[in-house]
Amino acid sequence: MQRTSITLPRLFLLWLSIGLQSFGGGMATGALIRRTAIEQEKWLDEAEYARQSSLCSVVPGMNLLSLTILIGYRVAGTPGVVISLLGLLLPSVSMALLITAAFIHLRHNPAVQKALTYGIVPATVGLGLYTTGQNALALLRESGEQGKSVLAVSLALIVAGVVLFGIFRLPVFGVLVGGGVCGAIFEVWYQRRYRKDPPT
Amino acid sequence: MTQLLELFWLVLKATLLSTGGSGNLPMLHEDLVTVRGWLTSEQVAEAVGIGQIAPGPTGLWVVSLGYFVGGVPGALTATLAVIIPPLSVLILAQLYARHRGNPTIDGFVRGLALTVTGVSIVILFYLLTASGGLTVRVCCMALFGAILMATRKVPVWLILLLAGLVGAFF
Repeated sequence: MQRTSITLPRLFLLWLSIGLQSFGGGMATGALIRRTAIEQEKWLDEAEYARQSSLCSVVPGMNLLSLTILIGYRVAGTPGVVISLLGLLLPSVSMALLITAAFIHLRHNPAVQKALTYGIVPATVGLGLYTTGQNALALLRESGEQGKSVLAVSLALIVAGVVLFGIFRLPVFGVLVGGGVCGAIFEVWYQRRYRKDPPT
Repeated sequence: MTQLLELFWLVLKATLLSTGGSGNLPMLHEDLVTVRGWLTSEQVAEAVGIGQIAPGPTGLWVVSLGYFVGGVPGALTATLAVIIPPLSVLILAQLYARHRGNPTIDGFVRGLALTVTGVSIVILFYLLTASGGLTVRVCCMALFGAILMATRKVPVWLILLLAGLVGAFF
């Protein structure tokens, strides 16, 4: 891990400015972090950035927080992690708090209620459907490249998630861990069956 | 106080067992609405909506969720709980390099990711029925959101602003 000579107050200001500008959700935030880290500050190059962000999608929780933590650590060690998280989250968490508090007072205003019930919430569900669809497609495409049986198992796991949780009302945790275990068992079996080293 | 500790644990648990900013939604929905009854499905939908309006990474909807459960202390508790799981990336950065390609690990992660998408579809359906019911109008708005998002050109805040205006005045 290479450490740069940036001062902590300056690091804080950099992340604060990312946090302040990041209206428009995760995509905007991601683009801002990328621009700051690669183009502006040259903390890491493009390939290294890609490797680091792919790690972030595997760990639990928000990917952009993991990315902030990784970059903060690279740049200034443990204090860098704390400073970077504070800078990024201070504006966004305060704004979320203010909007929520304002909303509680406006909840019974008919226009606000209609905007939310018939506009923002359904549109948000649409955004969620798009994201979920993209995730599912990416996973299925990857499975399809490995073979038809892999694709079939992957489709079955998605359907199992819908049926076991939506119809049989099984607890989410059990459904997810069950999905993981089935995925692991199948992958081990599949590798043994088809990926034996070819005879030389 | 006990409620705050419990909230901390529930958010931490849901976030530890999921990836992404809203992967913890299904489990939190179940724990807070179905099991504890602290919130209604409608409030969860509102928290998700507010989370979309506020700046910053996707996933800060738990700030609103925490606020609905226990005011400002609740919001801060929930925020703290979502910060902890991503810290594991520092450990993973070292471990993953060593175990990449292990079929058990790869298979588990993929199986998990696949069932998460299945469960998410169900939850999105719940949120839709909890807001305006399954009317043509509500479904059209969801479709409108998905299509604008798919163009990748329209910023999220603009999609939601348009949706809010259409919902309020038409």
